Amino acid sequence: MRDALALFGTEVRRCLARRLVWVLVAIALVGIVATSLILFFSTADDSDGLAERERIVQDCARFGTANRIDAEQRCRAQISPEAFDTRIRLTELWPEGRDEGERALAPSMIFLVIGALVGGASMVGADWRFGTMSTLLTWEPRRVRLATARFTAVFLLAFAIGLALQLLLVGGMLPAFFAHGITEGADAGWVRALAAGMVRMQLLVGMAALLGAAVSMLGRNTAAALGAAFAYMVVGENFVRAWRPWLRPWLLAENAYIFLAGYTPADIGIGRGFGAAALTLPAYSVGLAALAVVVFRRRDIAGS
Amino acid sequence: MAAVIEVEALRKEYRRARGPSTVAVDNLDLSVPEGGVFGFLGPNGSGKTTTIRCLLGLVRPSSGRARMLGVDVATGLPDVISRVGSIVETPAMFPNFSGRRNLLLLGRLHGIGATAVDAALERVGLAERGRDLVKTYSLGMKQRLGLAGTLLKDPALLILDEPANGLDPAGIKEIRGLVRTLGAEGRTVFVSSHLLAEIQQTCDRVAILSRGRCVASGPVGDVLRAGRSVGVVARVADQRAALRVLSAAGIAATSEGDTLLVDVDRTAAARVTQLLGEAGLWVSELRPREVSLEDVFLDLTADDHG
Repeated sequence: MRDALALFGTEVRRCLARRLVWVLVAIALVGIVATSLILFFSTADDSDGLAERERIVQDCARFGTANRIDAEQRCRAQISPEAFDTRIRLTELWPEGRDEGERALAPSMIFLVIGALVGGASMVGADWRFGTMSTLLTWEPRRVRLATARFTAVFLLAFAIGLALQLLLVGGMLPAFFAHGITEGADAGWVRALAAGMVRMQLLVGMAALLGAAVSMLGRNTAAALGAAFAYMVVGENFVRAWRPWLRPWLLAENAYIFLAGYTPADIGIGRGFGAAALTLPAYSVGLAALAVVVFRRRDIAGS
Repeated sequence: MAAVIEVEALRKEYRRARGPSTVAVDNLDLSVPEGGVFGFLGPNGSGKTTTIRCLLGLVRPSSGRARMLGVDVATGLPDVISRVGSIVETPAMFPNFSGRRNLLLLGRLHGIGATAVDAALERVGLAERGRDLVKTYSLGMKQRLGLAGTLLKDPALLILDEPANGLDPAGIKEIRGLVRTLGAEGRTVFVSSHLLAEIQQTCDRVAILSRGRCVASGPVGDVLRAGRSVGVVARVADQRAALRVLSAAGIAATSEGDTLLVDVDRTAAARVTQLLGEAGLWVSELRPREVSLEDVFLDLTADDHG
């Protein structure tokens, strides 16, 4: 057990020592700062919504039959100010209830997933590219143990780094919400929903890293792994969606969408529950990783 | 003397999707005794590196058995790997890490810390460049870094695949000294090389591989003696006349520069002087022909060179 932990620790260090990891983190940090600043300054002026409401109230009053003052008061009472309130709401980051609109935080996960896929593939591919896998195996010849430690390190690091970056993103956006937005509704229940959503997002990020690492182990090449992954997502899944729609419940994207939501969103159009999605995704990623371990164990390391 | 490496009927065949399969190692038998420096020779493609990869578990043999430090490699390699330092072909390290960082990452796998890493770098003469990126190293420096990596484990057995590859003459001499020192410390150094003069100067025992088979093995002196017929070198003023005299006596001889190479056992050298003297051809120099490992090697691996 101590050996395994030492190996895991070494693999974590090895991953963190890679320049690519920090380049990706730096890109993410730049994105977080930019998003936070843009959000803050773009929400400073909420007069547009108020002006629009006032214009509509005046139009309403002009065509009224009663005297002008009464008409204006009646119109003002009828035209709710909430409908024209363009201020941002903190709860929109991750709406607590089902089908309550877009999750504003969700798009950030796409960037994290892409970063994790690239990072995970590189963590394994670099050893093949530079021939260091041979060197490594002359120090730790237990291939199953080595690959398992590497995959575990890749998954957990992607999860941890992704979570840290997303917390920074939320933290960076908070000043805009507190200064120019509405924090009403952001109670303990909402915080729990947000935390659960963020954990689910990071599980997806970790699984993306694991898939990248597994494909890279199988192909012994980072670029091939990334090419295969993107080709599958862009071509493979769309092909299935178009030509074999009954297979949609088994597609990665559909399962990820359901898993992310925490329930089956009304707009997805397939009858697949959260539980099934939550089992399908790890089955794919862990299954592929297990296949990569088996192949890695059996294949000769003759060239690099 | 206990064997630290024992290879029995080892065979490695690479199957190909198209065309015939390639036999890299063909029923190889090899025994490397404990202590000293053991040279592993063979032309390119003779199976040296494949044998080393089999020993280190990088390649799975098609059949046969390999034992190292008393354990079967197929099952017990993890038990002895902490006592085996190795370089396979060009030492591979991450180019964007410093040499020191590369070694630290490897060392941590066996609980080896910075002090040992610095000592290993010092021993191979890389202490001053240890913190530089590996991509700035010359090939020779990379070889030294690989050697430093092998020394980190304080190994009982070192397996070095072409350790002098890419080194300049000064570097080769330095590595030769280091290898001899390591052998003299009681470690077993198993070194493959194509630099035959180096092997002859460095090794106590050798094995020569040809087409995946061991064609000679033993102490360097024994292998040299078992090589081509030794013969004697004779210097005479009139080479043509001398060749006629020797030929008439049934002794094969050839002209080699300004000397004659006479194909007789060195104990029969007196017969040569007698024959030539009786013909009035006076021998100004007569010496046994020195056979180098290169001669033996080329003789034994003649098939490989076509």
